[in-house]
Amino acid sequence: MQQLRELRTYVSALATIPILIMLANPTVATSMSGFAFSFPFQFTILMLLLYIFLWGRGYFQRLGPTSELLAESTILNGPIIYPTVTVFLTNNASDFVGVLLAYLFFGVIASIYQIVLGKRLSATQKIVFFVLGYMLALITYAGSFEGQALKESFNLIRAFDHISGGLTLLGYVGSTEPLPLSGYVRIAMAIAIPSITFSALAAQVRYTEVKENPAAEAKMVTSLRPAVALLTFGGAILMLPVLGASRAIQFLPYLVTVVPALGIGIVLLIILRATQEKEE
Amino acid sequence: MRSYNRLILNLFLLLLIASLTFLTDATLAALSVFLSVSLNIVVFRILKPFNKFNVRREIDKTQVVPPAELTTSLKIRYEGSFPANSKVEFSCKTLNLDINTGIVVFNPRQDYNLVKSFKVTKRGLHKLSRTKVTIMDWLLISGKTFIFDDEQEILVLPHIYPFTTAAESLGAGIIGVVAPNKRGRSSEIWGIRDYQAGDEYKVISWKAMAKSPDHKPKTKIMAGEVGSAITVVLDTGKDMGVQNGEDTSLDVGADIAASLCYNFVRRGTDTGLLIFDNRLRTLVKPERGDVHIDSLLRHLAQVQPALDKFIMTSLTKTVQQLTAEYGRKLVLVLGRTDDLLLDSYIPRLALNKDLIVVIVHTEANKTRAEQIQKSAKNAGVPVVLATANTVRQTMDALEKWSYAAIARA
Repeated sequence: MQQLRELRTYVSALATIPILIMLANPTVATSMSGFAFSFPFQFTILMLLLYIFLWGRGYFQRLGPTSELLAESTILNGPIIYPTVTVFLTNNASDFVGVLLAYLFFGVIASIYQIVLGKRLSATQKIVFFVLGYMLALITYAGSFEGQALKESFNLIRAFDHISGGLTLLGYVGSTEPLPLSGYVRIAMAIAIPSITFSALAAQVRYTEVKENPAAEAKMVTSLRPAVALLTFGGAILMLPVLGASRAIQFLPYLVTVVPALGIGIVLLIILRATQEKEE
Repeated sequence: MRSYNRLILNLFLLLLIASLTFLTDATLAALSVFLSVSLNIVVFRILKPFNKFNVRREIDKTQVVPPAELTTSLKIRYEGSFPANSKVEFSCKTLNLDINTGIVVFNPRQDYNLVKSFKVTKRGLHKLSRTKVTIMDWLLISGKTFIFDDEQEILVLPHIYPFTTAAESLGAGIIGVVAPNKRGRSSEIWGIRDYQAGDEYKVISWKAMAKSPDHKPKTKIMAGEVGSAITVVLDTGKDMGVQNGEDTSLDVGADIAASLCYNFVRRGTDTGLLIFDNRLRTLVKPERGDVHIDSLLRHLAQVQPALDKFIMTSLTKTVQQLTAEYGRKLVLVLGRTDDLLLDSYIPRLALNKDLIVVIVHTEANKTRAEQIQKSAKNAGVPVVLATANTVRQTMDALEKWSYAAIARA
């Protein structure tokens, strides 16, 4: 594979470590095994594999736009219809949760694939897949952990509580337990953040190169690697004020992500706008 | 919206979503990418690598006879302190030339030489576009474009078919009466011809006039004298735009007209040129010399088929208005054959001109061309048929006619 000859592929792989920690652990494995033999779970896995098979062979692209939309929707949404009906009729959500777990698992795998091997992605798409993969892995892990604590295979409500931060400002009361692997995830993020930054920047360079010259070999301009590495380092240095601001507002721990990150983001947007106007 | 504005806003939106989930790790990852991309743009605006490029383009020849190989070189020097990305491009649509370096990383004080050779076969004036240099930031998101004022023209002349007899040989010089090494007037009488309006009184041969059966005035041809001028008329009407072999009929016609002009002038004959479609487009007075050859070839290099058809009646009228300096000898290179008036107007044109017609035809109008040839022959006007594959033979026929025309004079 062409990508395996590229440095950025290996750097991107490092960025998936925290996601893999949350996905590949005994807690998630126990929850998955609890649903593994249920028909809705197996049917969902089968349909998703069918989708990947047909997508890989370019079957959907050969259909017209309407037929493509219909076929893709049927295959991807089909598995959730029957469990939704059973929730309404029997008030039993286990089939529904099984299907959802299968979706979450596939979502994380797809995100990891795009982070490491995804071709023709821009910087935004790369980081979107990272954030998406991180959130889905967190939901999977948190749901499994909280479910097992409540003697269930998976608890959906508690899983979503872990990503419902902003809603607490509107009055939502989420109930979350500290996750046992959060310390390892945080340590892994120390490697993952610069890795995903480098990967996203390299993806952006490659994205523009492909746009300029579609026939070119899928290889980032070698001489740009130091520049991309320098920008990654520069980005890390610029995050120091965020650290300082986070320390300063510890009395409002829920705002630590909102105020410093958005604050520095807004300041930079103003600087960029000002320099652009000056240039024009 | 500019691409980097869109990118920055998308990243900021993602940062907003991530931060509202209160997930510190995901927020920091999004923030790191956002900061690095912003830093890239700020650094680009501070370092201003776009002010430190020096580009020079050169081309080895600007006027060629096809087929010819041209070499263009592009010299770029970057005087900045940090690496910079740039792409350099220029093109020539008519020559299907498209030079684009793609994105190249320039290191400080690095010289970059691009040499490109290309073959030109197509007659015409080809414009090499101005060099466009786009300097981009490290992530290739935004860039500044500079267009250098270095537009150049390449003149590809028509193909020249030389006469088989060398210009310097004794017999060849007779088209213009004199060999190039004997220019100037002398008292040596080379021959006698019919009197033409404008001839000087002292060169009239009264003796020859008395001896002639019709007692018409005769003029002495002096060695070193400029002979009777020849005018070449080229039809550039719509019909000349049809495909003829690999070229158009106009390319074939221009090659024949250019070859005639070149050979005549090289042999000391004053040669004029008329470019005509439904009316007179270009009129070059008969002259001699290298500068004149250059002027004639330049005109013929640039002719393009007109939107209107060639009109024979209009040409006849124009030719009748030409002064004596355009000479008696006329070569008409014609592409239109569907005009029925050609049959009657060619003889009419030949009444006061020593005319030869070259019809450039294709398979489609070959029969009609032969018909015109036959009717013109009956009226005593020679017609040569030419296609893209028979230009050499056409030139041989025209060479014979040229020498015969002088002998007649």
